[in-house]
Amino acid sequence: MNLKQRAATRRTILAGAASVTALSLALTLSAAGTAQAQVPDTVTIIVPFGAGGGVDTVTRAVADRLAQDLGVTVLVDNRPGASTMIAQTYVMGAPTDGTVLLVGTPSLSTGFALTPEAAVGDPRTLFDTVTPMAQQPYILTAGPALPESVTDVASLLDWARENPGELDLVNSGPLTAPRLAAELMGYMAEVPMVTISYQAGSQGALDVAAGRVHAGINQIVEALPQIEAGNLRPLAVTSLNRSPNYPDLPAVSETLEGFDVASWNGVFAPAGTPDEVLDAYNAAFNRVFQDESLREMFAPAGTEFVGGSREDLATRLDSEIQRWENLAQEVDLAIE
Amino acid sequence: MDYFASLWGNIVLGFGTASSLSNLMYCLIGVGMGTVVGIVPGLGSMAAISLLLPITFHIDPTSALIMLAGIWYGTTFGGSTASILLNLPGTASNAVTCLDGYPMTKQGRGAVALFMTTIASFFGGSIGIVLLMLLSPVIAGYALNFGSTEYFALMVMGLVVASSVSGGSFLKGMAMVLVGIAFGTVGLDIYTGAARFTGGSFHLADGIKLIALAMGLFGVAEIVSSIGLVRGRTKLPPVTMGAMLPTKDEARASVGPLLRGAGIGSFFGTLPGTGPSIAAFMAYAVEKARSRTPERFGNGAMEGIVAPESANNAADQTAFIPTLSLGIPGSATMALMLGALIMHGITPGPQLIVREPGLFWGLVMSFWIGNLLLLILNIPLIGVFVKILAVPYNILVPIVLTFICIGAYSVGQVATDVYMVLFFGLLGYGMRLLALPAAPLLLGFVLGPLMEEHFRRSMLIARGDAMTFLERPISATILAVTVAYLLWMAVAALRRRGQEATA
Amino acid sequence: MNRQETRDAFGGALIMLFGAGMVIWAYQTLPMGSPRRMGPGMFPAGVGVLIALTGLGILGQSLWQRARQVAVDTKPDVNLRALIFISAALLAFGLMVGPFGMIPAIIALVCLCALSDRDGSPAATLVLCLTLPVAVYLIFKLGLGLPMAMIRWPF
Repeated sequence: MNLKQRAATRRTILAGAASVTALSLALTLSAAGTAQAQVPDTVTIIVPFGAGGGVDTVTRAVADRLAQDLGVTVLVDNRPGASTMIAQTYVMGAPTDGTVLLVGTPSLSTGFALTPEAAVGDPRTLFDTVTPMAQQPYILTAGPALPESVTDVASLLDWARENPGELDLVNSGPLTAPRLAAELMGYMAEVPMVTISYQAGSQGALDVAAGRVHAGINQIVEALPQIEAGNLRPLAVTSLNRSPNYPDLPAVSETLEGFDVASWNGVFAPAGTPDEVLDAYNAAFNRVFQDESLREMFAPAGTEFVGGSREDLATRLDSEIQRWENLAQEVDLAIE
Repeated sequence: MDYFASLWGNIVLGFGTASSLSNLMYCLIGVGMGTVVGIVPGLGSMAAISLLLPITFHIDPTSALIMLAGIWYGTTFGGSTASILLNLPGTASNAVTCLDGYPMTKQGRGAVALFMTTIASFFGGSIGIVLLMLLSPVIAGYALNFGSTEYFALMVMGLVVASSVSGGSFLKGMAMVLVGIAFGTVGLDIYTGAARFTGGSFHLADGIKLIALAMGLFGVAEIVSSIGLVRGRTKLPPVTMGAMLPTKDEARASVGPLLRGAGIGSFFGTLPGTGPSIAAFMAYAVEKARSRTPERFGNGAMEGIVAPESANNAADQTAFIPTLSLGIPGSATMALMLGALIMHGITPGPQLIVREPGLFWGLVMSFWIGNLLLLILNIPLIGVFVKILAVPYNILVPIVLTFICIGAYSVGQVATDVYMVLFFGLLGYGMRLLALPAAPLLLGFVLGPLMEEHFRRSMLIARGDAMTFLERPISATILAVTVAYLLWMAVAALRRRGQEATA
Repeated sequence: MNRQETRDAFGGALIMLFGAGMVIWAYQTLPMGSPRRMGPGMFPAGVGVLIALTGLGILGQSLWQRARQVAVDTKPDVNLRALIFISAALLAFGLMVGPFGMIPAIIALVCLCALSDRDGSPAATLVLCLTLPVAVYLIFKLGLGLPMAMIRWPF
């Protein structure tokens, strides 16, 4: 049995079990009348990256507060690798009783839109949405391998035009949003560039700071140590608008009109999880996002806790998939 | 230099922070937990750290780091116990300690081996801390010069050296290193996400687990080959202080290996990702190469346990330099510590030492306290551990096997990992019959994936030109040293053969 | 198979086969890419080639040594009984731990282990079956808080 069949079989088996659970849960609801009754005693949130990274720390801080809010045990489990596909395969085969949640990232949309045959499947049907979580722009930085005159997006693109095929750009994996941001930038400005993958983004930022690679598109936390040490020049943020946390840093869109790539995290559950459970989680997560200490903690990383409804996340995922599918038709992305 | 002028002030500041009652307590919890996790076969420091991580969000960052760090180096400190007594290495670096530690146990000198590794661990750790205190800013600077090309060259050197570690021919060692790298390629490719050698299995996508490989290759293979052969272990003399102490000659002969091991360990510890494993292999190989009687190695040579234990504990301490001053975690455990820092709004980086002197120096001084606690904790425990050997073998085997199974199973909660233990157990037993060494395979497995990542990236940056490894000065030097080492090995082998022929 | 050289020759041949198999598997299932941007198959194929070469080297070395007659007779003792029952013990643990939980898996493992040694004592096995699950519960579940089901009934 191959991967997908196996997960599918397991889902069918579990779906039967879940409908029974849903019924009994509905009964408890009418009796107890609390949302908390819907949520299992122990929840495991699967993070598709290694411990200590940006998404991981955000999730752990949220998980901590979620545990207090719901009065249940919240575990965070790291299953890194292969552009989040290892975590996706794990969660799509998990029980649909709300005991396992996934932190989704732009990789959900990029993987499926660009390499549908290699991806684990359509995330829109594999997972139910729980809530949008956080959002942060990526940061474009230049290192000492580029001349001092490169101070912003326009001068970076000029340099790349004068040295065709030379510009190396750090990013974090073949199917990730930073890679696509780089490709999109090259496409919009009509400048070719070489994208170089790193398992650990912080190692990539260090390579830029040391002058081995020209520039990078990284998460802000990955680049921050070297920016503060003066080894990296921040050029721009990749989101449509400037980050409220870094108002002085221009957006790429100020040079390339309409450029908009951001890192977002959303919480997902295996498809078939009962609505009551999803709603209870959505409410709890959104209460947690209002926590002032949480918001302050991640402001330096450029993270905003956006929150929102289950539909908001579904819409976002759907529109991103369509956007990348369109881009792949326009440009030869040559995902190797 | 004002850095050294202010050193004393920093030491006082750090000691003040580290010796506060609550920090002492967190340090004790950390090293205690680390010792337990290190000793139980099949459990890594990740298990203990994940357990304590939630606490760290509620205590101040210095205390959190002191505790997590305690687990990290405490695990290495205790990790040699199962290697020496039961031939069960928890990590690649402990596999080196097995080579001579387990033969010592078989010769009835297990207590001496444990005592000496405890001393070596303390000693290596101490030198690592001294270097951490004196050289952090310098080392942080030189680590900047190491890119993918240099890392790749360094790993080539490590693996070539590892090939010569075990007895038998160099070619056999090399073959086993390569087989280890081959097993390391199983799983999803990090560059493209393509599934490699998984046979479509859902669970092999994560790759083969280190624990399953190490426990099978060493533990299960050892159990199978010694059942029915090991008898009459029931009468052991009580372990007195005298039984633990090495002879005067051994003590004197250990000083050099201790120092060299600590030096090698301190250097490799600062390179993120490679750290303790390469250091332990390298330290062992250096001692074996220096020795006038290399044939003692593998048969219970004291230098063969002292040097690698000194090296991996030194590496554990200096590994904090890239983590704290460059923000690059060298291991999953270090990544958790970085996460705890970022969570408290502290950005790691070159500025950390200047901006957060209380945290940095408090942490460094807590290493002293932690290492001292480990020494005090471990020496009395030697007597207890050695009693394990008094347990009849037919009772010990099921207990050890149960721990191995639980250790493998608990990582991912899938039976596949238990079957992998079986697979590698059979492989390990077959390798024993064919006199193929297991330790190089383990190092190849650990370094293989990193090696591939760095190799492919170097080639990409160099636009497909393999000459880049020879054009960049640091990597060219490392590769030249590696070739020189190979030549020297070949000459030594030929000379030995010549002596055999004349004899 | 008693002589070291014969075993080396056998080992070298096996290693060669392993390397060759890896190259073939990599070629058949994975794209190679270019030296500049390597595909997932390039590195494993390269490693496979090197493995096959070292295997060949070991084979050659052993044949050469055999010709030079520097034989050391070291007859390996294949411990067949232990091999079979220890393998069975691990297999049983793996099969049972999922559906039935930790305690039945441990008991199965302990009982099969007892069969691996001619001198196995039934009394010791009984004591272990009773105490080991308790110890495991205390250390791993209570002490380290690892999530694991001690006992369950799948039917």
